[in-house]
Amino acid sequence: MKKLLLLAFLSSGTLSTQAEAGGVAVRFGPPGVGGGGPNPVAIPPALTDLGLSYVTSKGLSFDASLTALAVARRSRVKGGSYVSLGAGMIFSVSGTGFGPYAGFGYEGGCVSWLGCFSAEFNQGLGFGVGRIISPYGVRVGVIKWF
Amino acid sequence: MSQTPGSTQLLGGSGVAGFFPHSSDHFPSYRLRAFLVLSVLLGSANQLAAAPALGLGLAAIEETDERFRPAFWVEAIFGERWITKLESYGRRQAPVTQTSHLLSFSRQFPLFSTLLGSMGVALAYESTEVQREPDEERPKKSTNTNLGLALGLGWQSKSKVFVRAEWGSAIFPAGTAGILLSTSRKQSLGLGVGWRFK
Repeated sequence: MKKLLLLAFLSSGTLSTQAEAGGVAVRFGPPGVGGGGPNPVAIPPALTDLGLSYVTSKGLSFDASLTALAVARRSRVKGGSYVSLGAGMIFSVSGTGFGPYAGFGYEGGCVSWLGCFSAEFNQGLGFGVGRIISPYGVRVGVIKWF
Repeated sequence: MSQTPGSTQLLGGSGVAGFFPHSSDHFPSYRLRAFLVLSVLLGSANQLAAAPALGLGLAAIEETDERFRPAFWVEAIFGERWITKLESYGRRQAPVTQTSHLLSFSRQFPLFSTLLGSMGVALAYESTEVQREPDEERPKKSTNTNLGLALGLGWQSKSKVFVRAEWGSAIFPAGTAGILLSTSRKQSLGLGVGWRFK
């Protein structure tokens, strides 16, 4: 029990360190959730087109969207092109599963008060009971670093 | 907000969707084209001095509908960096025969120590052939081509005879909806073996 408490304490310390600074990304784009292809993005964008990310200063990305709730590590923390790889809960019209989650992104064109342009393609492989689901999303938006 | 058509239609060769015009009447058969591409790959691999490698294997390909189709792939790797890959799959269900080929050219780079990432371009060619009665006027064959982005994650052993596993995707613009960020994707889960020549 003591070991578990110690582990929890150390983990919380790590998380709080990583949460000290980072970036918040808001991106829009149509999710492909296994229905034969994504719809065009709505104008104005609907909540289903929304993707939110919190990226720590260590390059750990916490992503939430219609396709996944996932944590991934980015190959580059800030700016330029990057690849991210992690895992999480994956969602599609066929169900829910747990599995790997990957993304390819680009950041650039920063405006001081607004943030930086951000585009990302991400996909997941969700292993559920008796099926594999594999939604994806191509989204563009902004990321604001703090 | 209407549903975009399925991926086969998204790769449409007519109008805005296709980057290349219809060419079904004048092209040789897909088998001949595949043979030519394979010949070029094999020939190039033997000619280049930049530590070429050849690989082949099986894959499961998904086209945004979460149905995985069996496929085979062959690839040539030059200098551990440049990858030319051909994936082929299809099905025959009388009277329809569908074939698809994905040809990609990618740059490979190290990622997270043992993993590899890759980015490049992908060319898709799809053909649907329907056996019809001789007096039917409807077309017997339609072909679709499209150009997109190839992205991949993979792992490859370092031995002379290597094992390679890859999770790749090719993303294509979806016709007139492209301006609205609608896309089509072909996802591939592949496993195979290869040989380094040096």
